[in-house]
Amino acid sequence: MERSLETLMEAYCNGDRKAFEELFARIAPRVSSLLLAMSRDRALADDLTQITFLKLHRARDAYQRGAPVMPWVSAIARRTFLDAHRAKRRSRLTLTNEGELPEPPPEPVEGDAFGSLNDDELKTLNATMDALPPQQREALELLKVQGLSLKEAAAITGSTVGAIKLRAHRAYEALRSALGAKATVAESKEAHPKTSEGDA
Amino acid sequence: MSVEKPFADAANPSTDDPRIDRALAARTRRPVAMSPALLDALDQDRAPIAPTSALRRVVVPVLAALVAVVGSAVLLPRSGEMTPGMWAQSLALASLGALGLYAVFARGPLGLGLAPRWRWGYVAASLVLFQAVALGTASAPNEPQNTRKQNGSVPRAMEGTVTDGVHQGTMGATEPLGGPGQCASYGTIIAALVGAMMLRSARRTSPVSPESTGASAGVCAGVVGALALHAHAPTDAVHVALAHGAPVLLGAVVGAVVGRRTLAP
Repeated sequence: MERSLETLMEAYCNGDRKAFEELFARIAPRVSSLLLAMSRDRALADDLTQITFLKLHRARDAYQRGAPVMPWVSAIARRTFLDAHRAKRRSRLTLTNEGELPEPPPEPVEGDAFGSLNDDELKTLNATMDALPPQQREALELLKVQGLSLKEAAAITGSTVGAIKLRAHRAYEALRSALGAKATVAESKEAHPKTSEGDA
Repeated sequence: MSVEKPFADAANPSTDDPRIDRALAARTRRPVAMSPALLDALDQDRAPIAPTSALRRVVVPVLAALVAVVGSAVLLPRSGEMTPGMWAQSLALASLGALGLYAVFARGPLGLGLAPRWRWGYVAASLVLFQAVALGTASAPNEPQNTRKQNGSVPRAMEGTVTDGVHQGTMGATEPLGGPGQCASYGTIIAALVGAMMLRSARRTSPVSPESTGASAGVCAGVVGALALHAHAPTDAVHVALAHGAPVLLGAVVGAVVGRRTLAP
């Protein structure tokens, strides 16, 4: 039987390294996804994921035993991102050894194809997700991807349940309308293939 | 993980689209490997952690605050006896201090502490309430000043409070510590000591908003500093507002800055 995250966290606090490894395997992808949604940079999200778990390791004495693990870890991850974001804003751009500007950050990797969306729709969904305002993207990520409750998401972001609900709703509607528009275009192409080709 | 119905408590659950939900959930499917730095940290420090309750964290700062207040009451020179009004003001300050402890150390069911807006609310309310306490610190006016104001335009209700306070506070005429500067310095030193202990106890416990936690700790420590000074029977409103209030205001600013650096995990 699979142990709960809280049980694993407690075992890890008691010095069980295996528990940490299992905990990491289970929540690191979710933390990485959250950080990717916030940073929109895969490499940065991976780095921040490692930093988040380093911080979690150092701050494990501050974990309130029995409390849900994901809100706590998500809050640390969010804080890690905000700190990195502030540091990045302060830092000057560093040239490469050849005196050139560094490569721009890589585009986020598309999510794995899953569910009933085809590749095209998945691309649209990811692009729409990336184009959302940061707060809406974060709310949607916490609720829909991390599976946290409204209360937990509000506590992590230091916001209210109402605000989180509104942000997530707007983000969700944006995704839905983007996919809906895509579907409408596809349907109209199917219904009037000659007209579409003629226009082109 | 409740991916299926995260909007169950939302107002409009009918907006759920299973296709979008599944596609969003799929974003977490990418495995992540532990970095060498993390593995090293795990190897170097794997000692079991004893559970620490919020109550245990509070003990040291509370003891420090008690020692500071009681010690100041005993050691500081007095300019007069404590009146019932001053006892009430001391009680109000002590209550603000207790609220501050709660704001800093309460963890809540999610283990994340009070919401930042409540902490900032505490900071703002404390600054306002402290000024209210200061305005309530009105001594009986000195005879010459009272006579002087009878011919002026100062409302009768204000006589002997703010206007006397301006005179006495700026002149430091009745200060047993020697002046507002000394009062502010003494209160700030007390606040710094208590605040340092609070921040040490609260270290790495505030992943959501270390700034608001730090500011709350600073204000709480500043209130303790002001309480320590209050016991030496201050005699005018502006002196209390400025000299005794300086540790509170400084505590809010310095606490927010230091909290941001030290309280986040």
